[in-house]
Amino acid sequence: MLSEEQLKLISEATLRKTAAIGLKHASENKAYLNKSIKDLRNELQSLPPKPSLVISAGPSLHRHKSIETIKDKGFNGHIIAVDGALGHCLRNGVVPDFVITVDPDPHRIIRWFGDPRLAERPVDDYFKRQDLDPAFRENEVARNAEMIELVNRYGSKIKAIISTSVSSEITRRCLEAGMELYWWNPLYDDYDAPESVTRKIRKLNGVPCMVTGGNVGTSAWVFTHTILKSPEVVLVGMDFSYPPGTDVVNTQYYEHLKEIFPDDPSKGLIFINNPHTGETLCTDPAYYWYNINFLNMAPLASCKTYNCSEGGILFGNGVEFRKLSEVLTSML
Amino acid sequence: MSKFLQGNYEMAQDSQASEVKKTEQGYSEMFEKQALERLGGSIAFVMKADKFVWDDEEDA
Repeated sequence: MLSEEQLKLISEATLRKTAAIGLKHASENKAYLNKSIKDLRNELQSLPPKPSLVISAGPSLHRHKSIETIKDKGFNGHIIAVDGALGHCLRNGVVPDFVITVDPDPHRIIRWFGDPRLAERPVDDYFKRQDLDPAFRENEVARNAEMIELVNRYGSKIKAIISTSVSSEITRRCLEAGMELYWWNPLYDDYDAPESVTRKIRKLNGVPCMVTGGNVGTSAWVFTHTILKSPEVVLVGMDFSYPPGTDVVNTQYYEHLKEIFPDDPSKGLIFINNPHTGETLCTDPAYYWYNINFLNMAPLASCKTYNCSEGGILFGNGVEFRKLSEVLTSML
Repeated sequence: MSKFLQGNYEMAQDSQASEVKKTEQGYSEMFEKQALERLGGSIAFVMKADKFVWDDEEDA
């Protein structure tokens, strides 16, 4: 477990890592700004609120075949996919209403949309190691071509909930695929503080700022109850951890853990028991921080939150851990 | 015998060991701090006054 002080260190490190590049990307994206999440909220205002289903890209999405259950039971509400889950959704016959993206990484994130410049990217084994979409681990070039084709085919049916922090290459890719863009700024820091990055970016582009929880999945959940005004939100693939037996090589922060603990990178992992599944899962400090952030926010949200990932470490404190088929049946 | 084992002076080695332990702890804390500083998340996170969305115009 991590102490308050250790969590604060991660929080500060994330601000240092993302604020400057987020500001740079916000400046580059300014030329593309049109509608914001506030416009979307106004467009939906006259309609009755509907529940939301957030499809995040944790390993449980594949382990428990959540998409199959969703297709089998049906869902009459908004479907929001995080960028890393978009490929899995489209390959399996689910076109989400919204796709959300926030990470300012300049080279990796565009792959989730199909990267037209894949051959020009720096050498990177991330997609061969990652567990967010195992399909991307092999035949990278062929998978990328497939993603380009799928996103181009269905893009016009998907609204992008796009953060100003993302690379403008992602912006152009979404536009090229025919997506309608709704912009938001991440809330980076205290907007009342002197030299606040949040205030600077808000002043630059006039776009509303939204709390992120540190990651795209939690941002999606915030979007569902603040903008879509969903009274009930169902989460799948929201693990914030790795299944038992995961090799540290396949964890998201392996590169950093290897630098810090060269002899045994697994020393940086934390083990947590989930009493609902009886599994002991491992997580890394950043995922652990995400989990704590979510649990601190959940009781403050205006929605009821069901975590139907059927795996992972997100439960309690305003998050009801339930079976996906039961919750979807109860919503029919 | 028991009196002999009790000892009648402070062993220099004890204080050295304690110093070594303190230094190791210092390194460990420093190492941990550096480690956590490298393990940032995807995007910054802060929440103020329990508000999920901040829009300057609406707040004004």
